Amino acid sequence: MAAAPMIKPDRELLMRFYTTMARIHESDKAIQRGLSAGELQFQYYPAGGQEAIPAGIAPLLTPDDHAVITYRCIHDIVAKGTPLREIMAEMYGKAAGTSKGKGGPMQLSDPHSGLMVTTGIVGAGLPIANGLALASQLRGTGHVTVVSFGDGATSTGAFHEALTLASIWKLPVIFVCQNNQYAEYTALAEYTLSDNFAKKAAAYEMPGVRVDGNDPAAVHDAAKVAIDRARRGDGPTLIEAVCHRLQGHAFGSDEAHMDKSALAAARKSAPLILLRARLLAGKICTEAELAAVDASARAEVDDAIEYARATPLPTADELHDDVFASTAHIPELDTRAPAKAVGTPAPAAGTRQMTFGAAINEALDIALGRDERVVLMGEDIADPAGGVVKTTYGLSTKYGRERVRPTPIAETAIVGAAVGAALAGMRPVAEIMINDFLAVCMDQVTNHAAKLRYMSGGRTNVPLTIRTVTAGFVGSFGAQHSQSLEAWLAHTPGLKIVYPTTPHEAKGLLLSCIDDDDPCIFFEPMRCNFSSGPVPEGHYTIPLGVADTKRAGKDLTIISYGWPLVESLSAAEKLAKDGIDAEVLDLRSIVPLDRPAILESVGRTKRALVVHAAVEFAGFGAELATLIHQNLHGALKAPVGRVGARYTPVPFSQALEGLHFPTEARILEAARALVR
Amino acid sequence: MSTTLKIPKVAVSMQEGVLAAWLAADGTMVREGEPIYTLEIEKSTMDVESPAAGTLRHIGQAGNTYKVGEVIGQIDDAAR
Repeated sequence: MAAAPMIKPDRELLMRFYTTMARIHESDKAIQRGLSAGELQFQYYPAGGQEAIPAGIAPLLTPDDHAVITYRCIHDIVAKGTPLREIMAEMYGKAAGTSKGKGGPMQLSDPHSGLMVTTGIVGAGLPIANGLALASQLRGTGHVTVVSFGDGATSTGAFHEALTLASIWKLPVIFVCQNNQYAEYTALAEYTLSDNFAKKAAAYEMPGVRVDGNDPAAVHDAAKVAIDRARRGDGPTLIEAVCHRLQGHAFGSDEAHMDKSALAAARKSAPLILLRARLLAGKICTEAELAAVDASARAEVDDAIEYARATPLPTADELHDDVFASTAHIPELDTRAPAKAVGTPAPAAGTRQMTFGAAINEALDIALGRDERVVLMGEDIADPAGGVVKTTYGLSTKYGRERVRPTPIAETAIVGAAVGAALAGMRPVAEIMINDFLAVCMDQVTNHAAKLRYMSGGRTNVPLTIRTVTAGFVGSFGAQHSQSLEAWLAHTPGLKIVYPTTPHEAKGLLLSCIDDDDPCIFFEPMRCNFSSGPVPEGHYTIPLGVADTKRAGKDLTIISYGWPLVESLSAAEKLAKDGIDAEVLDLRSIVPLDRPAILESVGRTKRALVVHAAVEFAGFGAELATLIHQNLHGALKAPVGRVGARYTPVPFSQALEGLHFPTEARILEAARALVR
Repeated sequence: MSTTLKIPKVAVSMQEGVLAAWLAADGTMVREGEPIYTLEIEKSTMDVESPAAGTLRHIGQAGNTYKVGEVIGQIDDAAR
């Protein structure tokens, strides 16, 4: 444990610690009073015993320095400087709360004070802190990010990934482990043999410091060294602040998992009691001065509670606000009348031919060239590898490894860093090599990228793009490299999902994604990667949520996206020989969804067949079939048909793979059955 | 102003609880933070602390089961 303070803290600093801790203490008490009275009803995770840690750090930070915190949070929020009225209004679920009542205590953000994320997911804040720190590093601002988390978070993979990345990138981030001796309902000794978390830092080649978390001056000194180091550009530090939680895991929960004598001792020597005694013993201030601080804190909290009670609840129109930048992209609010697909004019004859992969490379090149906020990160993306299928080849050579950043094999760290950088206003483009690997970073994608705008009541947003390959039906990539997982993503509100097929569209849609203010997942079908098509030069965008009629027809609408669109088009030509004139509608994005184009086309042809690479059962085709049935029931000549992948993992043998995926033969069979 | 005492939600799954016993008598002065009644839920009990200082008024009966949010008492404010 770090020794006593190196410098004798001055009276002003000590009083600042005390004032912050008193404000935290009164806020915590007020919330627990509301819970006791039954006036407030939510899961509350008291922070008693941990007040000294953020109180010690707070004087070292400005509102431009970022904080990422976890759900045991009131101490961290108050210390960072969020106004108490807004905090309490959020606790009461009111429109005047930090998140307009949509975040609550576990998901509160206040960028005005630099509090960027509160997460309800243990360990998830660390990778995001890296991204905020990366933004500061790239901009050369000298600002730092402080991320706090409990001792339990040291068991997560996110902890390991985040420290690995912060170290190799020398990020200005300070990892503050608030070791309160318990991971939820489990005592430290029951979940780890480690008795010292600070020493883990050595494995990541960063300083690790263990301090008395009950002493704000000790925390302050350790944090000062770490923050100065980070501001100088010398990289991250892990601080373990040892304290003791003074209550059970949550308000009202039992304390059976806690050591009774240690708990009793900790309550007697609570940080606020210790500091008070120290101030009086050292004659730094008088009893009356402390009483005045206490009274002022109580009055401020009382005022905040009264404000929270009096201020109105959010109104119904708030429900859909802040899912995306615009409610126009929310599928269930789309009441636009059927309208012919607008599509995109085909590139002029004589336009250069290039592959799908080369078109993506060109889009990234243009984005990097025109917008300094764009930064690429992913495994193997830098030269000489230039990506596993060379999609990013040449870009790190042209723009440098500051902006085209190769990463460790750490998907949670990659997406977390992209989320954090996006929160700070960058336009990160992260690559998750194969979309099956989204499974290992799904928490960052669906719990953070997708939801932070909403959970912050629109105070923050995550303009990131995730590029990811689907390697289905290219031959023997097997069960873990060949899926098409767009339906997983479509099920989480807040994500835009884009799925191009042609080189021209890949370029224009990717540039739209990078410009978009919301998180976009951009699928790259490997089956299309090496096929060529005309691609206009220079910058252009193709809007998201606009379908394209790839083939006009009158007897049947085949709705598809991604590589099965190619199969659908060739099937349509064969159907034409049988006298069946099929229209082929390319959705290009499934969120936002071009509902008017779907309903217009099927309303005209009166038959629909959905074709996608994803497993048919519970696939996105089910959503499309419902949309069509609900709107065109009376007009349809046949129920909507679906051709997707079979309900099996993707098999290795090409003999079986061809049976699993939708093929031209299966599309033909289904189409003929519909028109018969 | 007085403070209403409702059955608090002290566990994620909690729907109702038993007001097992009043720890402070009807009409007595209580301090903020003083245990005023015992709440029994499923496999545990908890002494609920007074959210305010003042005169305690019992409304609920000891031994009865109440839903989360049901009013079981109130505290008439003493001047702080």
